[in-house]
Amino acid sequence: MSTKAMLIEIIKGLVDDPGSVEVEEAEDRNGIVYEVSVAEDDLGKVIGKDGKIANALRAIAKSVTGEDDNRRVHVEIRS
Amino acid sequence: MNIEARSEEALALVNRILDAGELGARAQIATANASGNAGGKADGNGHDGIDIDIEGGDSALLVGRQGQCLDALQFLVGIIVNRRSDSRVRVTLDADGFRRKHRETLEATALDLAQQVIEHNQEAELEPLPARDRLIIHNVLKGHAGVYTYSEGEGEDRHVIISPKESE
Repeated sequence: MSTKAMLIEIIKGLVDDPGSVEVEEAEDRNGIVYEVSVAEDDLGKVIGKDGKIANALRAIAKSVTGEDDNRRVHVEIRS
Repeated sequence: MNIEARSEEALALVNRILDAGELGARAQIATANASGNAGGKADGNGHDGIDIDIEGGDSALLVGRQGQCLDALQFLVGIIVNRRSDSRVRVTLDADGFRRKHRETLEATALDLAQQVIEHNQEAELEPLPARDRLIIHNVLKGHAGVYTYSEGEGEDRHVIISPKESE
């Protein structure tokens, strides 16, 4: 299972500049963090109105990672 | 681009996402039997629709709690598929039969209630449901000999009423 590769594939579809899409996976004792970076002009396309797109990415990461409730799954977005 | 070409494009996208996630699951265009509104025909809103079923491997993971993950993926796939096009297509994803089972449960409940409504000649009020669930109830009882349906209430409280038809 690769949540990271899955996020990359989805985000590449959302943006104008797929070449700039990067996702770093980091783990600490609280859980897993996916740090998403995209081209500055594409930020709005991965956040969406009222953060709807970012929240959808979070919902997917959380479920596919299969983490239980005690550990958190974060998706952070930056350019 | 016609609906067939766009269906193929959406299907390829979903399979790329599944492959990237190494979920061991496959997507295919839903057949008319598996989904209430399949085969790329237009839905009630006049939009063309694409129905995709995801099966096998870890497809259950894609459902998430109460379908949250599936709704999220469907939302994003819809955005991607419609990004570069002037005409909107509605994309509906199912995974591990989640939406199909949910629809079957709602349909069975509606038919049971319709039977009770006829027996007691008294309308029945369902719990509040989201629009797409209310539509399932309306559709399954459309053309029913003994009952008709309508919705009442606003927003979160909107719910279906099943009412006996006047006997002639």
